[in-house]
Amino acid sequence: MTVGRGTISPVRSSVIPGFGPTLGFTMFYLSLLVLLPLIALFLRPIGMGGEKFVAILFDSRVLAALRLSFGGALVAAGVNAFAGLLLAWVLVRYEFPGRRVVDAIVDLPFALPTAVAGIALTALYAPNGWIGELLAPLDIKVAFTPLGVMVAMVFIGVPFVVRTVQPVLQEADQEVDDAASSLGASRWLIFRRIILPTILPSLTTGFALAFARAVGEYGSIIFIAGNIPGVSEIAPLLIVTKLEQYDYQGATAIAAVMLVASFVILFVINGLQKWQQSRIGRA
Amino acid sequence: MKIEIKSLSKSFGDFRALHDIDLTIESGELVTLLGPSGSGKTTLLRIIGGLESPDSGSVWFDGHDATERSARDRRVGFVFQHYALFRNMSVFDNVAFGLHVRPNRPSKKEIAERVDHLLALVQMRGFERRRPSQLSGGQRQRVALARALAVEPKVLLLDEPFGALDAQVRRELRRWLRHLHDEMNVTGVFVTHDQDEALEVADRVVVMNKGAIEQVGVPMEIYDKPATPFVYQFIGNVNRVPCVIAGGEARLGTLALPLNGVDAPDGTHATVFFRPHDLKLAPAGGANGIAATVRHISVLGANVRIDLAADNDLPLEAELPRVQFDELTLKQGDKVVVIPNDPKIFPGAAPATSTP
Repeated sequence: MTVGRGTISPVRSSVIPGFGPTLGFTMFYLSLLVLLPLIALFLRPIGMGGEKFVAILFDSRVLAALRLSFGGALVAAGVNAFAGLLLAWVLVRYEFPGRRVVDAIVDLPFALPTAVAGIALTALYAPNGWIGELLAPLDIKVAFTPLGVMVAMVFIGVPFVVRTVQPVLQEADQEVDDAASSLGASRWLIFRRIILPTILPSLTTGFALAFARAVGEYGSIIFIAGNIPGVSEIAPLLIVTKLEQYDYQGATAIAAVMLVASFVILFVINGLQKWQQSRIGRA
Repeated sequence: MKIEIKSLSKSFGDFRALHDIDLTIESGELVTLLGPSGSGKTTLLRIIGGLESPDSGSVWFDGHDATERSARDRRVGFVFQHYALFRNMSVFDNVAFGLHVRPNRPSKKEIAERVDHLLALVQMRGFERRRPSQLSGGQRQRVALARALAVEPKVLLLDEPFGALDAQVRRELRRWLRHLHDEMNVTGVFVTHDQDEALEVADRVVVMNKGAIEQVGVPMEIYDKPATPFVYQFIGNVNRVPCVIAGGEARLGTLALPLNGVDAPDGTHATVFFRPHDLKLAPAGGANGIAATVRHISVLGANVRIDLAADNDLPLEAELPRVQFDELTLKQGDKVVVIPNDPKIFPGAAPATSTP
């Protein structure tokens, strides 16, 4: 058999050596750290039988927790997509004193231990906290409600959209804006017809990352959520609760559903991004 | 549309980009702003187009003060060096953009007709569905030009439009643009740092340096009668020889050149400028002139370039037609005298070499 030109083949010596060992390591590493645990996660619920699996999932408490986790994450990612875009815009387009400091602050939710973030947010939004105090007369309760869950989710998702959109905005040519405005386009029209289509793929990536992070978030949420079953209890917490009660099957059942749901959502977002990318027709 | 620029100044921080510029561009004229990078030519163009606002001074369109008018209200067509096409849109949508965003938008059919006409004009018919990323640089710039012309601008501003293209395409587009301009009734301002381009394309050339205008004139004037040492050096090749003023004349080797009204008192230094092709060479000892030694001879087709060294190793350059050169039978190391035909004397020592 002849190997066509340009085919990457471990047999033929390539320009860049070491294809075999590096690919081998990549596969081994991913299998050990990612695939194996995921497979185990799927095999366990199969052992319990379909009937029991359904029974666990359609428990009202489990449904509520899943709804809050995914629904809250979608809302939080949406808020972050909007606010993150604005933040990135300001950081790229304007020169102002302290811009570097603001730029650094964006990364803080990355760096902060989630428990610390949770405690800080709870202290702020509790009915006697700085912000909770102001909201109390308006009859808005944040801490210990689903709203609190979303606040924490928004907090931890801030960097994702900013960091994905920022480089694309930076790269965007100022001359393109100039061209559009000399053709008579208003600023809003320039944003909608020219800038937005260019940054949409990266905005979608940022949204997906923020969403994924919010779905998986645990540490910062459990403090502010209050964890009232069926109201402000998130799915990851329910998994932990079940584990603590030695209900391993229940825990893995919820985990498997979360895994599938996350995978499907990320897959859809990825497809959307591909489609947007093809519309831009990158040079 | 007639454009008047009145005592315009602009600074970016400490950098003075433009200083007290006065310039009038007649309706229908094609003017090039020529200068090295940092001379302020692009800033001036952007101010005319409303993409930048001046610190002081004003811009007038047909006798109306347009200084405060925004770019979208000026009705100017702008063409950029790096095309600035909308990459998320097809060629058709790019050209149609200006028509789409108009307050009184033409009908779909009218837009399609107009775009078709413009694409024919820039020889890009058949590319309607392509994306900018699928076009070559020259094609992109032609689309950008069609896009700028779509709004029927009274003024067309071009910022080094062919700067990113290779030499062959550049020359073609240059001629084609000149032709296009003659057909359309539009005032054009063309920024470039390429002297050949400026002289070939323009009705008038504005030479700029360090935020100020050095000279304004038709191309021949700029080349034959440079007003300042800067223009002399920037346009074409030039020989510069330092000399001393004595007895109301410039003493250059064994030559005494009349000052012709140049204000340089006796005893001061001056610099004589002359073009390499505007001189005579004679064997040493034969005539009055600048004594020099032949350093190197290169044959450039119909012409021959001779690198010479005068006293103190001052490099000189001569360019002779083949016939003249053959008569002289020169070879490396020969001693000659250089006799400039039409030298120009500027007071002061020669400025530092800046010719590339």
